[in-house]
Amino acid sequence: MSILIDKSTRVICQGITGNQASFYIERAISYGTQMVGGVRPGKGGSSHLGLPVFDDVVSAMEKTDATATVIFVPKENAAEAIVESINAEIPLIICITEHMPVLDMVQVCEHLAKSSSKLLGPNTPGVITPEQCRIGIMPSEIFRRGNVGIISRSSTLTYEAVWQTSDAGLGQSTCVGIGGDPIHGLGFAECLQMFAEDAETEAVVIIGEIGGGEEERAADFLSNSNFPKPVFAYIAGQHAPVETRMGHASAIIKSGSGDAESKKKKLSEAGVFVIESPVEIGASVFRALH
Amino acid sequence: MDLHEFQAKHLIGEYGIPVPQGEVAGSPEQAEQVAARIGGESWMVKAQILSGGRGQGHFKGDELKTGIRFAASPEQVMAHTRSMLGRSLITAQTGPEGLLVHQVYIEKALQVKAELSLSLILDESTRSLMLLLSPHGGMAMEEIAIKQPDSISRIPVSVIHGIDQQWLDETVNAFPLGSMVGESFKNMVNRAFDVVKERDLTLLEINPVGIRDEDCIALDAKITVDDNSLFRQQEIREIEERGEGDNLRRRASKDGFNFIQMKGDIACMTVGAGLSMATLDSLTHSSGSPANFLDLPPDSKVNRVTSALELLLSNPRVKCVLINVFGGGIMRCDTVSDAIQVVNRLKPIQVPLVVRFAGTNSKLANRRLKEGMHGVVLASNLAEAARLAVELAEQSLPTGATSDGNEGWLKKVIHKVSH
Repeated sequence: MSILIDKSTRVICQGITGNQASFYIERAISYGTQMVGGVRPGKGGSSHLGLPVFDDVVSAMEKTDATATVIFVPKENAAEAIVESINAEIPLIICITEHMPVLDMVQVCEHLAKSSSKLLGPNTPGVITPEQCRIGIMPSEIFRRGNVGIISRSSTLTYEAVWQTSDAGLGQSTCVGIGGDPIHGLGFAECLQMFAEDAETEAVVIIGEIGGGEEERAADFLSNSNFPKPVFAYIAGQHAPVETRMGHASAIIKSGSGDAESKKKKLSEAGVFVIESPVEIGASVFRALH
Repeated sequence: MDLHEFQAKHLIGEYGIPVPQGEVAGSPEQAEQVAARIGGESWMVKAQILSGGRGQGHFKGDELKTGIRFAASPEQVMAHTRSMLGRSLITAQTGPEGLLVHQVYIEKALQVKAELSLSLILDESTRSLMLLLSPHGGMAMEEIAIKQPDSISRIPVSVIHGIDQQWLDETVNAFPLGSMVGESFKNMVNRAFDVVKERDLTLLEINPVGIRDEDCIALDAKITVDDNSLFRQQEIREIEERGEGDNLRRRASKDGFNFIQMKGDIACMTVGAGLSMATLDSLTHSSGSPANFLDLPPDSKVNRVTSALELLLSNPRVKCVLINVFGGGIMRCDTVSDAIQVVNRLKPIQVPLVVRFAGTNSKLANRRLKEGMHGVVLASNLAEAARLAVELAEQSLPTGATSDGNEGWLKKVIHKVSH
């Protein structure tokens, strides 16, 4: 078991002919992910990386029975690509694209609210269920099949957390990047719900950061549900200067809200084991599980 | 990206929102000429800094002078301008150092009967634009929210469909306004939405809105533009390119990475924002003091990493550099080790470097550094890297104070710490 994706997930890629997309799709294929096709308007009927290319998502789904799409479309057209996949009712959409205009995402979320599709991202490294399916840009060699669920707003920091858990002798059930942008699809709370129901996951690690309200909503969710598994959290940016943008668009601490201390306090009150230093993520989880 | 008041007013003026006649000035003489050009009998002189609360703020070293002042003669316009330019204005939002005033905005002073306020802001929790209206004006929205919480009416606005006109009618009709002014205010709210949508704003606050006999006028305006939209907002991009501000940050942004100067002595370079923040956290946990935040995007090539490292080393306070890279996907550790060697060849690095490579090509990168350079300590994990950086910084001299024969000294310090 796992969440969101497993070996039966059938994946298409929007923007498959781009350099980055080609690089990562080749890696997905060699990892064993069931890549079944690609979408590139105007190139329907051709093939790329041995996969059939279609003009649009609807025809790709008809021919391939795809259940997930990964989007590598440039920021200028990424919103359009997400809306196209929402309209095609594909169950899972993963948008890797960075630097999308935020009002484009507000419009995307208006479409998403009326649909049953799930969106991860934008600005996400993607999602991986080790040894079964990887969709995204993560270095898969650091992952190990196991029982820790990981949810994160960051990419490279996720790799650090994954590496530490693998190094401590633990593995991951599924590792999900929800994305570093202020307006995005699935959040921590929805992922926690899925991990609660996943038999393979024994513990969940939240990698949060300053700014936004994801951590607070996760804490509210945990306070109001009888969450059956231990949850750990590390919040990046504890020593960030106030009112500063730290690379991720949503990592801005405005005076009085969204700072690391208030997030840690809320999570801790909700029963979460808060990890103070980023170097102790793997060891903390290992100690709690053994 | 935040706009100055004069830029914000120019922008909303283009959308038909009434604003007082005004012009920006960079010298007292220019200010006097502007006042003469605008005409009338009285003017407002307004310091242009990117902060709210200017009217309640004061200048550094002069507690009595605020950032927004009334002038009854062109001479007074000049005098106010002279006492503002080149000085730092401290407000509740700027911190104790304040912000340096480079320009003032001269406006015709207007009589208004009452003030209200409107704000459209990106709201992450509802994933929408939130419209806030209040029959009070002149204080910050945050302050109204605390002092008169019931006075603020709010509604999420669809970016696709715009403002719910029935809600707007009902809300504005309940304000103590004449019917003519009510129409003018509703019109202003709708125009404000158009500006936000078409110009990719994450904040537009018009506060106060002045009420006159027959219409409403924007007395102050605050705008934040979504940085990610600049590729399609040429006019705003031009404002950014000629703007003042933090030079190092601008240089970084031109070269394609994020940089924020901090006060400590350990320079940091990382790939990815999350890991960068975590690296600063672990340094601080080990009682170290970061000199900066620097986040390279994962698609960086050698030349970008080189320019990032050179920027770090140009800070004379730096005593040690901590480089933490998790290679993955298109980011390979050897890109960073190559850049380190390029920088060192051009100008030998005078402070110790602590390098932690993990992920793609980390072994290759480690080997290249070990063979090609002195002054580098390789760490196998983040905890060790942070500890070594703190110890080395304690025993090193800053980049600005290096002397001849430094290499031997460097070797000695590194030997001491790593054994």
